[in-house]
Amino acid sequence: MVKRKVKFEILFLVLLLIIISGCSKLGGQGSAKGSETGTDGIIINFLENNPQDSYLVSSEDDEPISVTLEVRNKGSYPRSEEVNELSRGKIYISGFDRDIIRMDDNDLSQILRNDYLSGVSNINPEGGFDTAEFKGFISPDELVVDKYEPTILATLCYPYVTKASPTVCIDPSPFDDKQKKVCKIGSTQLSSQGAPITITRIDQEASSNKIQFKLNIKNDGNGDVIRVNDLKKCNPYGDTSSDSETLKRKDFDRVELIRATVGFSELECGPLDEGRFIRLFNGEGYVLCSLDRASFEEVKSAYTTPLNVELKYGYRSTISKPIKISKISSIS
Amino acid sequence: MKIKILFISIIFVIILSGCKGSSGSKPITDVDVRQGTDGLVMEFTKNAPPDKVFEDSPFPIAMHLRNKGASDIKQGFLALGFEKTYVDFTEEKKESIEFEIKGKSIFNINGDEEFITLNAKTKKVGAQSETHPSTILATSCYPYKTILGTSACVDTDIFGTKLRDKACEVKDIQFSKGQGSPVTITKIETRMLPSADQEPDKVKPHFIIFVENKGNGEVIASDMIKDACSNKPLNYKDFNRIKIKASLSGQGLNCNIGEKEDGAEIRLREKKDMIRCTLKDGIDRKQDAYTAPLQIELDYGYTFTISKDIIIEKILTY
Repeated sequence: MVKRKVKFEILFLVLLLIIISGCSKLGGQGSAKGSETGTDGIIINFLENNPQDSYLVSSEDDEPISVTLEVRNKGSYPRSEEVNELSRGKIYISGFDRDIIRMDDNDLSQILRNDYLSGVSNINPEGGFDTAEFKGFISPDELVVDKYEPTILATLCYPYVTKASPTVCIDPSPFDDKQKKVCKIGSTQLSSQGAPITITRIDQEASSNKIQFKLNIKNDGNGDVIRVNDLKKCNPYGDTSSDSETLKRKDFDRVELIRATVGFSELECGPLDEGRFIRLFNGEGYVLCSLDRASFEEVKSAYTTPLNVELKYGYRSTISKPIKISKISSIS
Repeated sequence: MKIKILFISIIFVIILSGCKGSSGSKPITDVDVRQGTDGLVMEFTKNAPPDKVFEDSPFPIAMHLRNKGASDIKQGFLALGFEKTYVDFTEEKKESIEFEIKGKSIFNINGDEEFITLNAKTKKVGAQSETHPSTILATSCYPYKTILGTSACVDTDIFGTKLRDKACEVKDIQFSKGQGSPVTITKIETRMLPSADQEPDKVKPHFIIFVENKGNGEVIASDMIKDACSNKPLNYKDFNRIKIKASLSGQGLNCNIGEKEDGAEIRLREKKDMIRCTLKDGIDRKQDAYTAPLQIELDYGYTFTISKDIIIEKILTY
């Protein structure tokens, strides 16, 4: 009887082990993700087998090649009330010899279709989705080697906007400790805002005649920040139009401050490059904004109010895929 | 005891279920025939010639020739050398025998082979000797090619000032496995040179190509192949000469900087040399880094000799 019990116990344990090893963690269905969180903007990925890992090219015929990219807007821009400027963005493919891999109509870039790329929202929790397809062919005549191993590089450059409205404390008497207050001036840590540039923290400091806000921002994405007006310089070939230039060092790490308001009062901000750009150093930067006492002198006690910040920037991300092209000759 | 066996079997089943069998299939075209440092391989077949031969009698000489390299041999020559006082052909023969053997390809990954059989005859050993040792020499002279096709990175950003991800990185490329030929390209160093004053917006890809004779023979000029397998004398200048042609994306490279553009030549010293090749037309600096096919073709003649010792025995009579 005891022996049988031991047998059952062992069998039970083994079965339990098998069941556990086969289990995967279930995502909580009820936990709806906030629409304005995350550090992604628009992301691109090569569609499986587009391009293929390897191609076999015979010496007689052109071999078709297709580079297809999934384009997903994982961030919160554009919101329903915002102007959608994503069509200023473009996807470029490069990294290969254009005489060997010839794209149809020499088409090496595509404009982002803003209609399909709405931001993440409560009604569209996955964000917008689109595909970009580059079709062409591999020319065997130009392939003088048996094996050609280029890396297909896809570069996406697009404009994006970060918006945050954290609650800050406006205290007309910051040094009065005796009064009971609903809030205290200090620092506020912020969560991500559904964009690659994140406002990470707001430090507040009050003096007798103004309140200062230090807005700390960070590039939390995997790409590069570029001046929003320099998106056209992203072209890796740099030769499509006469006015095109390539990106220079000074075009990087510039985030345009569009708006910083407390309630209806506009904040005065600095230091700003060219009067509007916040500079990033090693992916991080800040701007100091101040609110004059005149804006809240009628108020006698501390109160909380949203600080509305809007940042605009260009963003560049790149993905790559190595491919192998082998040339075979026919038996004849 | 039974529980133990049951327990072990269950664990064994779990481990096995996690295993994934490999299909073991390899694409048939994924064969790199341009590997190795062999070209023509030649040997005497067994007992032809035999180790011992009687005087004044015929004997066979059979050569087994295999092209183990990746270049086809057309108009190769085989010359046999004897001690003429003791050995000669049975009938009047030319100085050398011409042959053709195809090299390795994806349809014939081992390369072709050829047998050449000749009849020779020993002469009298001489009154004072019972035996006479002699050597049979076989020399092959053939044209050969080394073809290297590789991908080179063309990066117009010489000083690394462009802030972006690049499809490739300019670096030295080592080739340790050879290219299916006795003369091999061992290394290519890549440099991106700023173009001259007249083209400031361009860069010129520049390649330093290192070449080495890794075979057991000698390199000869491709126009002296027949002479090398004849009794004509060769000048020392006829040795170690290799013609080179190189192209990047199909555009010819100038491998004879400062001299005439065509007919660039390498002269091996102690079996090694290097040459610099530059793209004639520069590449626009605005263009991002990309991978371009680089093809290098070396054209030369190759010669080597093998030998076999035989003993010619006198027929002793009572």
